[in-house]
Amino acid sequence: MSKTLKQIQEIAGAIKNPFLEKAIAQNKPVVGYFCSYVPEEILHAAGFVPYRMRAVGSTGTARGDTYFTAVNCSFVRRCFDQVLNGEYDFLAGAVVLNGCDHSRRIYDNWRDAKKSGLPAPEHLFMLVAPHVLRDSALARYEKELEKIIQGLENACGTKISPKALKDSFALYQKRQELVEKLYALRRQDIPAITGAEMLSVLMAITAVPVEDAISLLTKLVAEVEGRRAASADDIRLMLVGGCMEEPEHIALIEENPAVVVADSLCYGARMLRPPQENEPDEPVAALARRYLYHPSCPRMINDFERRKDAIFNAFRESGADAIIAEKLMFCDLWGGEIFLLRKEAKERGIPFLGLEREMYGGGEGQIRTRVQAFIEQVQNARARNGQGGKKVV
Amino acid sequence: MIAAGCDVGSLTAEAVILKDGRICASRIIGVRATAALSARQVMEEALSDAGLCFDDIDLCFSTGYGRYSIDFAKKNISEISCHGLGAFTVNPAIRTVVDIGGQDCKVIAVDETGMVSDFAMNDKCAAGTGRCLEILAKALGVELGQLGALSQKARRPVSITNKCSIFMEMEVLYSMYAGKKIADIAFGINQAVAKRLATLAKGMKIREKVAITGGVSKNSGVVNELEKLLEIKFTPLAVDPQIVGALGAAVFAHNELAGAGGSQQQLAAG
Amino acid sequence: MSEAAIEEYGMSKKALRLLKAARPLYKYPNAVYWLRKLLGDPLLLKETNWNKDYRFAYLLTGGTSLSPEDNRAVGILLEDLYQYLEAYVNPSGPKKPMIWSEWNLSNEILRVFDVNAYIPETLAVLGHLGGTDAAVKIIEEAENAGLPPEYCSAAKCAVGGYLLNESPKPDAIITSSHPCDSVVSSYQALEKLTGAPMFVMDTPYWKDEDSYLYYADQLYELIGFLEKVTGQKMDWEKLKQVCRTVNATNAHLQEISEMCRAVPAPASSLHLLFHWLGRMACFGSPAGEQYAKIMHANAKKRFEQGKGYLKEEKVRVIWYDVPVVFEILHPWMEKEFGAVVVADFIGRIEQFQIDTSTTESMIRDLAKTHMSVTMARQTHGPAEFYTQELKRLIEEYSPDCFIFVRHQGCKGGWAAMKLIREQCQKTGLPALFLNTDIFDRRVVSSHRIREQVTNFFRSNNLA
Repeated sequence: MSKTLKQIQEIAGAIKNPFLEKAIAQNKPVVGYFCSYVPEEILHAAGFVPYRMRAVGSTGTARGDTYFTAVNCSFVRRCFDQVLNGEYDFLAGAVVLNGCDHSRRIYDNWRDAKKSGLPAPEHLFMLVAPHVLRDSALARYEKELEKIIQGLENACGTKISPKALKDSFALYQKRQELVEKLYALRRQDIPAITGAEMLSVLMAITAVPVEDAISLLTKLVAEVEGRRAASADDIRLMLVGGCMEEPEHIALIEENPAVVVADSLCYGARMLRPPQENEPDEPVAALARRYLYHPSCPRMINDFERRKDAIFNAFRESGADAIIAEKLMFCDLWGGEIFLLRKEAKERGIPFLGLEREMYGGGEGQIRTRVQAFIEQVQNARARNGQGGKKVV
Repeated sequence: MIAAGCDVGSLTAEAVILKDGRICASRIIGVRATAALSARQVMEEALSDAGLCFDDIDLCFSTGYGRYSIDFAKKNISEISCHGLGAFTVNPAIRTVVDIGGQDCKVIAVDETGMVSDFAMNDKCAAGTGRCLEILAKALGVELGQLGALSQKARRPVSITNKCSIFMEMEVLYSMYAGKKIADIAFGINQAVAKRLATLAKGMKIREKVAITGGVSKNSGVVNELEKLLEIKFTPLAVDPQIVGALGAAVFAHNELAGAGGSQQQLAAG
Repeated sequence: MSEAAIEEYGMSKKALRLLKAARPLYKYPNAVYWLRKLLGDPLLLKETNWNKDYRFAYLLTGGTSLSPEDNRAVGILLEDLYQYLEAYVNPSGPKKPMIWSEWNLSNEILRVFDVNAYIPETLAVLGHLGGTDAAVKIIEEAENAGLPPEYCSAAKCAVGGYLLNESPKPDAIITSSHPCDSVVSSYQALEKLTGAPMFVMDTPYWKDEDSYLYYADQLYELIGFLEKVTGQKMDWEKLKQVCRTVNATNAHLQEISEMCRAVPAPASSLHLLFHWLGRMACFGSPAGEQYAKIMHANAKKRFEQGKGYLKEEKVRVIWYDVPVVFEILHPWMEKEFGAVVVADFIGRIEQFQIDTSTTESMIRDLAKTHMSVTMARQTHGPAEFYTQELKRLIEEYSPDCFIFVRHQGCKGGWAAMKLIREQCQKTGLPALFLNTDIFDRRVVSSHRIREQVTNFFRSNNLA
């Protein structure tokens, strides 16, 4: 295995990592954030290390369940449990987003926890993103970003200069270009990196300073180019869904003769934003446009057509054979999305499997059975259509 | 040529032995402490019935939830594929298989070669499975095997509406305290389980002929209700429906030995 | 499937038949009062095969609780409901555009256009007319089609109703991003299923002038959308008139809400929940205003006389989050325990008056009223919108206890449970947290709900 990949997997497997600890030791404040609608560039330009919040290492929800309930999302419960366990004590601040009914309450519950003397960062912000794509919504989102900028400036005691923003844009654009290179390597006839590995990469690069992320990615791209991470007979899968941060879950899928070559996931292709405009006169306006119009998730009510097109374009471009769509239990947004995507997939004759699970929730036996049966089904279809490859036996 | 299939589930384990494509033995046992133990025991018993031993097996495939733990199986295949091929092997006219097992229920569509073309499985919990029937039969104070026959005597069936097995159990108890007849409650139990599977089935295109497999296929109450809800008549299988999964695994093994690449295995009588 | 629901608009036709029978009776509100007294209790008890077609309607219109004066008001509202249903079940005259509007939106603007308005969640209420199992069948239709079971049952009824041909085909849909993810998600499904163009109000998260202006801007966009899909032009004078009607209606209803602070309460939230039937029939109607006026006058009379709505008010309940619609408990609680719901989540009104002096002020204030509609005002933002309102209710309404319904579809409410529970705990008053569903009787049975409420009252010496 590539040395850098191993390092990346270690970073992805824990909340803290050596790069983050080094930054903390250098008194660089860290700001946690939820969701791809929070512009990392702003946090970085303000002098913070942006850190995407996760539930990694969660062993339960005992503390999280003092605020949330069994009917709430397992990601939110577990992540908040980690918060209350003190695992996020290193945060100077956090930006919560109104992603969904579960995650937006993190802001409310965390403020309450803070009042009760429970672990909480000094600065807590709520960023409100619209649920629609429209000019009026864009203007509104821009105003919300201005509020966050104001809050961050108050927190760090300095103004965010246009130059600082421009420098941050350049760094994050570089990071994205490297990620896009890896995505291209996934699309090859023999992918150079598996789906499980890719998830580790995306988790790792959002847990370290962007400069370190660029360094890791640069090394990784060099190390995996030319690598054969799958076999020609493997069923090529596209993975679609919301919160997923367990590489071991994707590895379970890829235990079968299958490899994930494309995705639309929170830690995935939906992190890839349209290119930042060069020399923008109004950097915040340009940033707002870029973030609001990035590949959306089902929280965006009037964007299903564009979202669907992006998914099926990625499916086609990656040469995928089938789609596995996943949701966490009690997620209305992805439940409805899977309902719609299943219809679209059926119309296109694309094999489609919907899975539901709890984050770190076990149930591997059930998932294994479903995925294995689905792969067998796709293999049969391939053989029937004369596409080569083996049937089940 | 001896091919074998072993199916280890949550409640029972089955083994089927094919000799030159003919079933020469099959066995069903209740599961033991571990999947490996269950597999070994059921296969030993089947081999003994056939006058064979482990060394005689040319190839064995496994299926069921315990399939990974079966060390004498060369390969494991999902129970969806195995139930599909197993039912098809017994009757090549079968195009849909409904299976209600110990801890899950599924609807399987197979093509004209017996290979899976689509399937649906319960996602949530035990409701609609053999485990659910077990819990509710116990609450009712009857043996699991009695539920089917009892429900035939129902005159004023009780409706059990909750979606969760735990709360269904409470509904059964309430009905008993309210003085409802056991037969009426048994009917409600069977109907509730059938409804869960019917919901699953409605998401798929059901093509005739339809077979029902798994232990719950022996519960006439569930079977009758399912036929009503799905508006179909199940085609009986010439083998014990509980061994269909193991049979499918054995057929897959046979086909690999024969180099047929998954083509239809015509099961010889007997 | 119950017989009523096999045909197109089966449930709505059933509702029309019931309304047709009830309308002439309501001309004689005293007769209605005495008839209910005679029929009374058997219909309050559990659902049976012989009463299930009528029981829900009976309880929905107040059971034996309402006085003759209040019955007069309900009769007026039922007329409105009748017209609303007739418009799509038995349309007459030139065909009008059919506009769907999500149930938590305020429909003053729609009322101005010459359209038929329909609320898809109508089936969540009317679906119970065939008994609670009829509503379940509508819900199951949505689940069988692949909608997630964890959706709010109102959303499932909206989709299930459409799939069962219970809902008229829309020419356009209006929805919003409040109150919850179920709406955000289900309306995307409805848009796809119906193929109708959809306009979405993006509800701001905060309550400040900026937010109201943002919402107001979208109201202008909504008007543009409606003009485009209907081919009609906005009649600003008519909108002014509708807004004045809304102002009068809200003023009456709000005062009823405020009067319930008195001990004994001269009204109950049951009176205010009725007006939600009026919401289904398009808010801002003259009948809605008339209903509110009469209810207000009745309540005021009792208030001035120091009389309670109940002969003997024994327990004052704050009922938070949604009512249990499949088992309307208010008439039973009132009769059995003398328990009156003095303040609740859905019925209680807290509203702005709309300044109709200019178009700008009118649209701005419409934005404010939209964001203050019950359920919208508590759910569109941070948990404080829930808890601060609850705190005020506790301070002002002299409660004896709380009943909090944990509707399984309400994830945002569940996620704020600790904060809400603490508000109750601070008072030292008993609180019952009922795990149930608002429309789906499969989650917890009626029997079990009544059992929990009974045990709660008894074990806390409230009965």
